Amino acid sequence: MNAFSVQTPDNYQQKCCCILVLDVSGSMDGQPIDELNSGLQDFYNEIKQDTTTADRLEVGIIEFSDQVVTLVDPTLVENFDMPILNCKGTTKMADAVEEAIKVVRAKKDWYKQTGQPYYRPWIILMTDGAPDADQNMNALANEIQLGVAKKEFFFFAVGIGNADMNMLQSISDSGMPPAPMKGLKFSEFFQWLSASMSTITSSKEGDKVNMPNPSSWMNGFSI
Amino acid sequence: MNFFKFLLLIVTINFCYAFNTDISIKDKTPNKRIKKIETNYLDSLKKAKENISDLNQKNQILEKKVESLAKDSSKKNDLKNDPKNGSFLSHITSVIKDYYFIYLFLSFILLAIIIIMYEKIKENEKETKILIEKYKILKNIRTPVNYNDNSNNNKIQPAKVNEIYSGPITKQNNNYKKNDNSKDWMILSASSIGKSHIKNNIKCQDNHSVYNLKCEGWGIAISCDGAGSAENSDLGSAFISKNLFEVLENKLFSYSISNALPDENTWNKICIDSLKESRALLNDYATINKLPFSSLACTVIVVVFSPIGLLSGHIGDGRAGFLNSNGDWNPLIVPHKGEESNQTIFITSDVWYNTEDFRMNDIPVPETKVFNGNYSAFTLMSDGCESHSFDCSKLDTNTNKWVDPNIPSIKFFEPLIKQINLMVQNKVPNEQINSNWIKFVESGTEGLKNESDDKTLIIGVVI
Repeated sequence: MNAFSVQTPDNYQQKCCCILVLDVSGSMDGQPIDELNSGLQDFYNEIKQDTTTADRLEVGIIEFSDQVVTLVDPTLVENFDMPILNCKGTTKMADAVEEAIKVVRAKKDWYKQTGQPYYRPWIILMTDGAPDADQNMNALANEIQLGVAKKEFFFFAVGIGNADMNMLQSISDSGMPPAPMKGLKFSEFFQWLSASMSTITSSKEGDKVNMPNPSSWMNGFSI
Repeated sequence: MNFFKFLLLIVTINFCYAFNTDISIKDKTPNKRIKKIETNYLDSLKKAKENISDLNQKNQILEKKVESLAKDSSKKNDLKNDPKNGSFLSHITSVIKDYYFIYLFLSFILLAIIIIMYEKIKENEKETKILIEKYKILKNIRTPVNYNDNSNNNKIQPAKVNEIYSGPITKQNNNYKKNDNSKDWMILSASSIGKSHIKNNIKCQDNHSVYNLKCEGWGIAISCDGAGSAENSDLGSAFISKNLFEVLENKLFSYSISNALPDENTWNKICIDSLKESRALLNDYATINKLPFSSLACTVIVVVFSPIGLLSGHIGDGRAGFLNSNGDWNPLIVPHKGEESNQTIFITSDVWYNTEDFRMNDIPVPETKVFNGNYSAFTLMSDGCESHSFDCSKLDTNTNKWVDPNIPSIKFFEPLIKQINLMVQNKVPNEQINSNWIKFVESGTEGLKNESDDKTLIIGVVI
């Protein structure tokens, strides 16, 4: 029992939008999809246990095979159960990430319009890394790298099974290289979000802005 | 006369005779023999002469050889000999004589090198002296570990100041200059590590300090929040929280002694100058400890409390407020926030330092404020405490928009003030009140307990 007892004011938590873009193509069948499903459960449970993150993180889920399907619109973990994913079809990877970028932009506009404080949104791609031939990965890489450079969102690719890490590297921003799913600690990953970011938003164009180096944080979750 | 002629004749005959008899023994043809003898003699003479010159030449060569051998042997002897007997010295002299110019040249170069090196060393010494001079007061923080360790704070305690760091401050020291209208204060302060920092084994990056000035009722409270992304921000926040006090103490001396507050413009200038001075000293600290300056990034909030009002100044986020005589809580600062949450500006940032009247979201950096008047409580805190104690993110139902009222929450502070006063009335020892406070900041509410960020909370209450 504490000697001081007070009441806490009701404040809305600043929000962080995080879109998971998940590969459920045929090639993921077997061990990879199991690995992904168990990773998602870990993620979900760890967020739920951390009350602060649970109040801040709005999770959206997009799965892709031969279709891009939004399973969960961005929402707090208390408002949904993590689905179990099944494999089917081909790999419309670029289309799915494009969709995630759209969702993130819309959510950010909503935060701004309503004056809600927010963290920079996240797009997390989880795949075994074999996109369909018709998927324009070069255009996607450009869009991702431009969006990251303009600080619209963070992009992080996670390789499942024997993922083609070179392909994931090519679409990732150099400051945040892809990581394999195995050994990835989601809790540590999301603490990264709450770490104070040293970026300053200056009133003048062209002022030097100090962005933290994500690779120094990457060490925290054993790649 | 004839006799003489006769005598001469006889002598001549005799001489010839004698001569002839001598030769006649060996040769019957004396003229030929004489010639032969003559040529033989001349030949042998010639040969002898040739031999002699030959021998002379050989002799000369031998003499030279002997001389050089003698030299060699004397050299060897000299080397073997003790230098004291002089032969070594004489040898050296001879060698020096032989290579005089080369030695002279080399010694000139050597001399030049020595002079240059000496100058450099002198220069370095000068620079070091300047740095050490700057650091005389803060020498002990050369070992950064001590500096961040609260238990060792006696090492960096400013001279002649009654400092009660991380504990209650009350009007106790009777040596202070008396102020008729001064009040009794209970000032409680604590910095507590956030949950995510415990998990990741990161040090608490928040630091704070509360000091009395040498004048009754005057004091300074400072809260610094080290940037989570900066490697040595715990050292930066520790440094600024102590150093800024020392800088401000001197600048506020005349005001505290005369118990008068500076006006808005004067305080603005004093505060900005002090922050810039502290920043420069932090830069020196970074140089001495070979740390990148930006790795020491931290925010800073300073509140000067006095019997006649409050002064505040800050760079970065966090909150501060006070309770006026009407019983209303008011903000003292508006946090500097970027577009995204957690984005802010630090004392180490170049942009405010280099830009005249720099503003972040229209708030000047640094922002300063003077409050003249009565008040009965004040608070300052790092952003880790704000959502637990301030009204800072509310939904305005009229516009359906979120707003930041930036008001200390009555729900939070009213009970605190009452409980602190009760503890004082019940004569709870200061140490006990202090440890209660530390526990409260650690885990006093569900929100504080689960806060991932470091938390600093300072409260001053009139008792």
